[in-house]
Amino acid sequence: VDPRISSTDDAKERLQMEFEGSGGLLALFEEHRDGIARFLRARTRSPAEVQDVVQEMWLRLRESRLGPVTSPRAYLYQMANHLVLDRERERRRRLLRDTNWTQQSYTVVPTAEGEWQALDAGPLPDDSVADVEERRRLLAAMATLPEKARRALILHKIDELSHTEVASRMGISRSAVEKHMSAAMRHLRTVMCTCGEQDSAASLATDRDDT
Amino acid sequence: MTDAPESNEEQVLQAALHWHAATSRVDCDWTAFTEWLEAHPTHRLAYDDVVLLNEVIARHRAVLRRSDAPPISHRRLWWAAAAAVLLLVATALFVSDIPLPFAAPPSRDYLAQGSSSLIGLADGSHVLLAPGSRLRVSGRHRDRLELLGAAYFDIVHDPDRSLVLNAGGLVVRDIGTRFEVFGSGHMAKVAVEEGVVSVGVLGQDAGTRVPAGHRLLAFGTPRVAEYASIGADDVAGWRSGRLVFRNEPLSLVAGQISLYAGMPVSVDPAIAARRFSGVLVIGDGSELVARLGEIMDLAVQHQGASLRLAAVGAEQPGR
Repeated sequence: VDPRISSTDDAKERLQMEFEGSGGLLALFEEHRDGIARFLRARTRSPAEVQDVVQEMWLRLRESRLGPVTSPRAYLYQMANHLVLDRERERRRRLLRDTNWTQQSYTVVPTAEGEWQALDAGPLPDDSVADVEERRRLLAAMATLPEKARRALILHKIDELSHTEVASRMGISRSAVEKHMSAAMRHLRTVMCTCGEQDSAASLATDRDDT
Repeated sequence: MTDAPESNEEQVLQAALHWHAATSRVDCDWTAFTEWLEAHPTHRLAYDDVVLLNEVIARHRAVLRRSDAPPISHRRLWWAAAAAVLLLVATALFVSDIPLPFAAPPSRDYLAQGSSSLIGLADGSHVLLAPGSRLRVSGRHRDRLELLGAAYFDIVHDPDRSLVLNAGGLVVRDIGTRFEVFGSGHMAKVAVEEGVVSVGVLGQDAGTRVPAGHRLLAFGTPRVAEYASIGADDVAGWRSGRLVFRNEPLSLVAGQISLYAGMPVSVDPAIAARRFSGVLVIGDGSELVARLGEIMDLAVQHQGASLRLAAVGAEQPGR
């Protein structure tokens, strides 16, 4: 018992009872297990990863000290999705560490407006080498985007305007904004996610989960 | 493989962007998302790329935005305009508090009702506003804040600016960290999870440093400040549905609970200095006051639309 918490026995007993509430989530997880496993199979396409994530979810839910959750099913799926993303993020970080990016050079191409010339702001005090490198790659990728796709990307992702606001700012339709956004994503993906794609291709080749 | 080759990468990415937005919402159709993922093996790759690319952009948003400043020529124009109205502004300052056309942009009020609400500041920093709390954001860089209630701050480090927050008569200054603040009337609580903040009294320049793993309380009449270490999990426990108190005076506890109870909760001055330590599960908030009353062996008095905690047997005012 944490000596700094001097609650009465009565209070401790009560808290114990409250925390047993997470047993409800665990029961719910059992109930939705098949659906979540199907989701994870489609999400990872790797039976081993499905098992790992299901196991991790079970452990987390057992340890969970969460109060009542508004929509438990959505919570469980979101949890599964986040665990997959955590793994993917970590995998890419490892890949990136193994690839010596600093040996590659990126040139930031200034546009007619010159707005990207100033962009290579150099390292910030808290930046790690990886941060600086990642930013340089992002800037290089953005600098080579087609004009309208770049503008849509900046308004939506940097200035955080909604699609509708971007559309009215650029004087185009919402669906045109969406097209620019997917074009921007395709370009960024080609430049930024090359290592991920190579690896993805490898994982596709060993995909054992199609049937 | 029986899957048809995916002909249009951009169409897939457009769908992935759609699912990226959908999966962060509570009402996401997870079955439909599963079906989309099952439809083709490239779909999950597109989804991963879209989500992780968005994270990369978000990480560098502050820097990208800063370098997006208007070019020099525009700036000069702006200064010329500003100089032209300086006299008007100066005059207006002396005459009245009418809104100034070229002063800071108007402030914006945010109110979290029922559930907490996430507010983006200008540079990628975020504030999670607790239910029943109000945040006013002003300043050209959206870095002047006023809080009534509780909020959790995740502030991106930016050497060029310092965020200034007024809450419960205290001034919190920060350059990049994660912390929780509660403020109401002349009570305040500042709990730091990461980094360090400076906490001072409104109207004074000097501040006390509060580093990660510590909290500062201000309460009582005359007001006293109290500094102590806390556990990492104690900061903004309401994000996961619970309230963690370590040796906090009842007046502060009641102030924090009232946010979730949805009505003012006061404490009989005779017991306001009594301390409470423990964890309360918020639930829908309606049981919090009764629960605290039970644990502390206090009476809960109903006074119209508000509740009052008093010693058992204490006389209820106005009866």
